[in-house]
Amino acid sequence: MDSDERYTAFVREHTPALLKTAYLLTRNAGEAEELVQDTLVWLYPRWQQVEFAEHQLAYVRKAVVNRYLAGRRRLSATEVFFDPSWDRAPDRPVTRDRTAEVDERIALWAQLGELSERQRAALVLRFFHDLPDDEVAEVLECRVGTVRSLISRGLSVLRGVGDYADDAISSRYLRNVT
Amino acid sequence: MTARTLTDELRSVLLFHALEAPEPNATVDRILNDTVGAQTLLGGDRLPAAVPARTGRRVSTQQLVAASVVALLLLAVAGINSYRTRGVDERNQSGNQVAGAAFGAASTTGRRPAAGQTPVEGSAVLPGTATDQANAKAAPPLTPVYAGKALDCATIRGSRLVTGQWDDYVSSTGELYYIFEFLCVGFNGERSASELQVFQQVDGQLKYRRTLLSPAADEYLDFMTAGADSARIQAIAHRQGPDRPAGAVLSTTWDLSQADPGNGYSFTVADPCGRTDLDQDLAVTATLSVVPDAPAPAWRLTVRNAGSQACGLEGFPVVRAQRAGATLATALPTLSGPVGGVTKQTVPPILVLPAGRTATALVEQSAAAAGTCQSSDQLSVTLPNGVTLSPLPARVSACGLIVHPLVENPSGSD
Repeated sequence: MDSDERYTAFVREHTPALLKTAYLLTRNAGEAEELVQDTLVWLYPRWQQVEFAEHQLAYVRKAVVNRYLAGRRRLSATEVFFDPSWDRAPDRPVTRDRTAEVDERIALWAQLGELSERQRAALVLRFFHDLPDDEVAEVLECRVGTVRSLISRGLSVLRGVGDYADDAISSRYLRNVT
Repeated sequence: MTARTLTDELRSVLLFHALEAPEPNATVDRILNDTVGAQTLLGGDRLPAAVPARTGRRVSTQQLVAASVVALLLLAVAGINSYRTRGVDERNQSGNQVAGAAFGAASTTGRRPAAGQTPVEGSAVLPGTATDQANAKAAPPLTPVYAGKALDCATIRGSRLVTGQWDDYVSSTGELYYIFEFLCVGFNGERSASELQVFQQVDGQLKYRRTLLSPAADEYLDFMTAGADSARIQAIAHRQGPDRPAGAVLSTTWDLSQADPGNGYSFTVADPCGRTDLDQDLAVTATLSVVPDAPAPAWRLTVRNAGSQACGLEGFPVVRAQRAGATLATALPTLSGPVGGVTKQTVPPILVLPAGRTATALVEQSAAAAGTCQSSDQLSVTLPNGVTLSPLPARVSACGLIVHPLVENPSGSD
């Protein structure tokens, strides 16, 4: 199997998972598609580097996250979007549910959108991908302490959305809130 | 109070909304069309049917990315040609700095078209002359399709078949022919043996006529030119042979007026530096030094041929910043950066290191690396040919590392 075939196989196998990550980060289907597409196209001439990585999917996921964070910085400085709600609204219309539980989940998702990009990225990596703190730090290219701070501050904001029982994981992070 | 916990709820919300992620098939098609599809076009094959661009606010970005990929690859292909011509110029002017003497050069000269023949722009000008640049000719009107199976690009990591040098000539009967070099070029600059094929333009199409030079393991063409009924190639003997030292400049000429111009000679590149599985002394050592007064942190990685014979190197070293044996980051290969690197050509140079000589690659830290980054305690270095050297102790911030190709100049720049 040559490099193109391996690249093709990787794209076919892992694009669905990368789209999920990208969607949770961008909260917008079009943005997620573009983020994944841009990242994989950018990586194509650098595919040897990906193949050198011990965990290729983790390497590419890191590239997606970094591109997302870098893109947000660029966008905020240089680009104007015609849709003023792109940054906040999910792609699909939110349908209110009658139950408080569903309402809280909707509110939780909305509140996730209010977090900073790095906080949201840290929470997605920690709680969607179940990465330990040190691996989140590796993806975000920061110290473990910074990751814990990002997560604790993010959880602190989210905790205000509903009435949640204490749990060991969130308590450990929330103790670090300063 | 509810029994639901925040982290459980957060996980549920993330899992639920992840299901809203876009359906992947269209994205997969666009990615492959922008990458493998674009590459296929360069190889002469048909580009897969275009996939309609996704409707979005920033479609232009996708187009720019795709165009950039294609443009860079075209530049790389063009760069192979310009590099070789320039490299020959430099070697001619420097009096053959590499070890060994010219071999057979006196026996070969290109010929200008004979009187009465249709002059073909640029076809009679040998590279290395002052008029070469002035007579640079336009690209052939048609893209040749490689006619053969001898080149195996799978042997080089990430490589693909490209058309390298080409030239044209007019036969004594007035027919226009083209000679094309085909080779495989990897993303790290590694390249394969070359194959030379002759094509004739007939009824608006390029028809394969003959193979002048078949590829063999480690053979590499340095430059090629065609005159009236003749073609000349020149190469550096990278590997020591019974009749020539490593580094000898070799050249040969085919008389294309003959029905069978022969196969010319074969030549080989040097044994790869550092390889231990060959019955040769190809040992190398590496050192790292800080580049003083650089605009950003930068280091010179110097590889010395510690063996007893010349060895070959080409491309980017793989440099990994490690801590306690774990890789923190791998330097991104780029031709050049703020401190230097390869700026005069678009592909990494091929080096032949006589015993005791060095090659240098620059490792830089991009300015964007500011912020919190983990520090390494060593750099792991793997040569472009896959040979891994002993780690070098180095405290390097593992962010934004880039590495440039190995070059002969001790400064790390060409």
